[in-house]
Amino acid sequence: MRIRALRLAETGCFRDAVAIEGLSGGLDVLAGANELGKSTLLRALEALLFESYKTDKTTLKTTLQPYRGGAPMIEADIETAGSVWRLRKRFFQGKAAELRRTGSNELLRGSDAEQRLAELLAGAAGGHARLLWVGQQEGLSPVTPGESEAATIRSLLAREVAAVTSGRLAEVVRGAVATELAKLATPSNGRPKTGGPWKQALEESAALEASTAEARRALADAEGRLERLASARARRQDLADPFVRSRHTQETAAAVQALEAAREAGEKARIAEADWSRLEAARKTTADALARHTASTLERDRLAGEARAAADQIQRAAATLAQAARTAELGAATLAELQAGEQTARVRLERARRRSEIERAQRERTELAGRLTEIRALVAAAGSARAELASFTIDDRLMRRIETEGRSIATLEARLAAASTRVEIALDPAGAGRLTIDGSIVADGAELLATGPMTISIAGIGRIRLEPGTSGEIDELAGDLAAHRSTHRDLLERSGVSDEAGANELLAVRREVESGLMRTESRLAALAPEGESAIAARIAALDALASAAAPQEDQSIAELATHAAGIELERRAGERTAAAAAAALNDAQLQVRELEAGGRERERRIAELAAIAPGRDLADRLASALTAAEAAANEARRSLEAWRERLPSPEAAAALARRLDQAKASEARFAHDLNATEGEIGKLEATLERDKESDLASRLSELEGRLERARRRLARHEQAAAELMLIRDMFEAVRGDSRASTLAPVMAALEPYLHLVLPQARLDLDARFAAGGLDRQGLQEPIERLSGGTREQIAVLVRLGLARLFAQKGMPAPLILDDALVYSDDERIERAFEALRLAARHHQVIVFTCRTRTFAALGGTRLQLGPWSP
Amino acid sequence: MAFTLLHTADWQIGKQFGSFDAEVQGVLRDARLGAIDRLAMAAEAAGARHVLVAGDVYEAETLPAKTVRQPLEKMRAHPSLSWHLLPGNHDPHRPGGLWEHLASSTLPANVDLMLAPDPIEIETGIFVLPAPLRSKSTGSDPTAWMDRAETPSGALRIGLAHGSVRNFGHEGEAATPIAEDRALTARLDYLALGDWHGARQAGPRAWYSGTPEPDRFLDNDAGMALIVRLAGHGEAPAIERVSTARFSWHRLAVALDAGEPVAALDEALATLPAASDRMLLELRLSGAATPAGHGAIARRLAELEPRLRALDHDLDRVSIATGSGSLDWAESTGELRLVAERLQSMVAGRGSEAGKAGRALARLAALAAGAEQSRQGEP
Repeated sequence: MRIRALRLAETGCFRDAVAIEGLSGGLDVLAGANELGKSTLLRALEALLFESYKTDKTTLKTTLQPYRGGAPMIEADIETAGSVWRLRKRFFQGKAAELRRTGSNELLRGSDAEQRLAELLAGAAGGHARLLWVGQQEGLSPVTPGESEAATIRSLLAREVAAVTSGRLAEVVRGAVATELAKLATPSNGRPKTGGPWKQALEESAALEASTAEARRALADAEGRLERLASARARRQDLADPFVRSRHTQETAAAVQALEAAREAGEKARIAEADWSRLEAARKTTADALARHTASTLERDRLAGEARAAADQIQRAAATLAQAARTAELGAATLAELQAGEQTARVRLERARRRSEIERAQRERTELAGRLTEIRALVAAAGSARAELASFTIDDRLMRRIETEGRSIATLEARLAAASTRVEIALDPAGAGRLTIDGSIVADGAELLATGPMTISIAGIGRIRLEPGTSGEIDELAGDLAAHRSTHRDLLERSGVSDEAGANELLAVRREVESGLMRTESRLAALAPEGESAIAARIAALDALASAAAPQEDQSIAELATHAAGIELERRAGERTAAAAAAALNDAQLQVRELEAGGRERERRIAELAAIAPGRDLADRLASALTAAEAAANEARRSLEAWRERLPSPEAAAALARRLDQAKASEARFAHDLNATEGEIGKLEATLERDKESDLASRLSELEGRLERARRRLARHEQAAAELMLIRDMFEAVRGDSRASTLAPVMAALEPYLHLVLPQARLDLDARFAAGGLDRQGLQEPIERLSGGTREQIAVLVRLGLARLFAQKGMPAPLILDDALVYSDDERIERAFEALRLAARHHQVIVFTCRTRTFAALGGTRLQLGPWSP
Repeated sequence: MAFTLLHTADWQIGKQFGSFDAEVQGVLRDARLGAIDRLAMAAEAAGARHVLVAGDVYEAETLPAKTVRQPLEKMRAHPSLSWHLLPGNHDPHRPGGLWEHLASSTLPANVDLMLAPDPIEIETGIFVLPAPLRSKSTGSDPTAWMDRAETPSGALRIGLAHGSVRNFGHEGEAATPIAEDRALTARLDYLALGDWHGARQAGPRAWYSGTPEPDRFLDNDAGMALIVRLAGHGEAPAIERVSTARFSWHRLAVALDAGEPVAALDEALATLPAASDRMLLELRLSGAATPAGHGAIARRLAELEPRLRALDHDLDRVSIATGSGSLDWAESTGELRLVAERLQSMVAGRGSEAGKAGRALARLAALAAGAEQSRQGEP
């Protein structure tokens, strides 16, 4: 299809009807300034070709409705398949369509015209022509055909590429596969879908597996119970065997009998032992009685002999006692004498000590009296010294003030001298006495300070008046000096001296007095540390002690003490002698008393023994009774030993007890086993009854059947899912392969232009022929990241490729560019022009541009907008 | 001394048929119980007064009382017959087991439990030598005692046992061996055996009667009972098979022809009795079919199924034919065709995925057929 002319009336911005005539059908260029109406021309052509004349689209009205009112009328001459058609449509008001074939009478109107136009366009690959329009700014967007346009291209290519179309049946089947698979599985991972039949079969199968296993266990348990019941019954039969039972009873009875025999022997032995014990006691009693009788007789004889010996002893003890009494009496007398002598010695010693004490008091009193006299003299001296000190007019503090003032005066005088005029007088010998200052004669060598006006008179010579200059310092110093001198004088006067030397002398005297006072007080402290009154009190006390009369004693204390000590030693020896004599006397008295008491005891004992063993016939009787008792006891012992021999040993007795215990335990165990077996049988029978009512075998069989069915269902679902996924994957694979096949001719058509504009680059197109990115020497660049110029060029290139493809298929359609390539640089736009020129050899290329100079290089047929008279 | 008896076995009352749906299960269970009536009629028709049940009267030892009592009541309903029941490996006579329970309960007067290995004179001069099983597996021959069993001279000796006759050619269910010449060594006039579910002679004078109501897809002459006529001691028994089955179970192996798979199937089905609700069919399919053929067979089976009591098949095992024209159902071009060709290529490659690809191809064909039908149905 090629556009040969375009005419507009009452359309958009055009006030008057305009026309573009003489399009070459190759490269046609309309260059003009902005607002020339290029876009209106394109929109009008687009509406003419692709919109029904009946349309009321608002967007179309906005674009095409004339500014000054009216109804757009658009007309174009279209060449296709060797014929030229004039198509005219009026929109919005007076709507009309007309299609006339030039050179013939073929004229169609209204819907017929639209129908015919659709056929003509369909012959040109349907709506593919729309793909080849690049409006203002659209070049910046990647080519993104809609699904219908993509389908159009695919259908165009289907004639050469086998199976590139899915076909309606395939789409339905594909959808059915997806639907079936979605029921079973999650398509993304192929796993059973929750809630789906596959998942349900899986869960049911797992649940039935568990239930069947449980039922199988239950049945096995039930059969196990049957086995256990059989064995329990066999055991019960064994246990219930009368022979076995009687064997246990007999064993117990035998054990009881053996133990009873042992117990009887024990009892008999106990009785025999009691008899023997009793008879043995009787024998012993008799034997004891006979022994006592014999012993009493012997004792009585022995006591009689002792009584005789004791009588002799008493006699000798009485003599000893008398001798001891005498010795004791003598010792007591000697002791009394010694005690009296000791007393006398002690009195004399005390008297001597008294006398010595009085003498010592007298000596002390004399010494204290002398000390008191000295003390009192010292006290008086101290009082005098204190009185003298009180009379002194100077002390250390006053002396320090005098000295201070003296130093101040000296300082001030020195400063005054330094500040004053010093006058030194040197007289000739003849001048002596002739020189006076302020009336006073001045001696040779005198030095004066002229602190004020001074008149120096030299007799016979004249007077010299000195007037020192006025000086505040000198006056101040002089004032201070006078003040200090006054204070100094006052202090000397208070001290009673005329100068500092006198004051120092007087202070030295004072210090001498103070020193004497200190020595006096020190002596007083040494003589009477507790004071004078204490000395006086002590003297008074000693006077009272010394006033007593001193006892008369001619011997010294030492002599008297020695004498007293000797007497004391004798007295103590006498005391020991007397004590020994008294002890000997006491012993003798005790011995006598003991002998007398022993005699009395023997007499009593003899009397007792005489009562016990009055005569010899009793001894005979006792001997005979003893013989009889011994015989009876021996008999009892033999009986006891006989029973003891029949008594089992402790080990044998324990064995018998054990035997009985074992027999009883065995019997009890037997009974218990029987009882337990009965219980077990009862329980097993009861459980088996329940087993039967539970119909375990049937349940297992039923579960096994259900499980088998469930497994079959599961297998069917698994199989179905696997098959559906395989089919789905196959569809995907086929579609992928088909896509590659479909794109190949498009890429081939695009390649010459791509090589011209973007050498070394490869363009990626997706299944809908949309440009996804650029591959330049292995570097992948998404379309969004490319520069505006490159994107614009790609948009043009893709359309050039498609347009060339359409042309190759015998259905050429014009490529229309409205102010495209506005972002391209000079070099790139030159290449793009080359591509457009190349494309124009195969199909019409219509370029609208406002860049007149730049596009002058494009060449082609320059179009002009001219008037039209519809 | 002529004597006629009916020999049956393996009733297995209480048996479940869990692999079927609940309705079929119930029907099959009822059929097993109903077999007792049919056995009674067969016995009465043959003039037999005794029915010997050679073991496995019950399916299990732990059955509910109702299940245990139901067959007894059936037997009570036929008072002219004496029913002699023997414990088998499914229902061995164990202490506390169902036989002991039955023995201690009130039984119908015409029911006799054969619980001890002692000769029992069921009629004058007619002795039954039972070999009751006391466990599921014995390892020893329970009929050995019969060799030593004494019976009056001239009396008929009829052995009654449950187990696997040695060298019989099958193992049976019971792990209980029985000497193949027991009837001879024990001087038996007839040895009535149970365990094998089909009617078959197992040795001299020894027969398995099989189960009176089939319970599995085995071509073993099941669903029979034996009328045994004994002319006298030492005389050969006359055996007559009588059918007692209500349901027929069939296993049919069909090798499908890729060209005409449905025809092959129909041809095989024609060898069976007419389909009815008393027939259970297991189809073992093999061979190959085109995806379209698959669909056709599936439809054929779908038509057949409601006419039967139960149908089980393994159409999945049928491989996909890969010859020319096998993809005619797919469009000549386009994705559907390509997908079908790729799947067919996988099938032809016989790789590990060939089976799955074949099934997928069949499924694809079915989906395409469905889509085509929908399209044709569109206005």
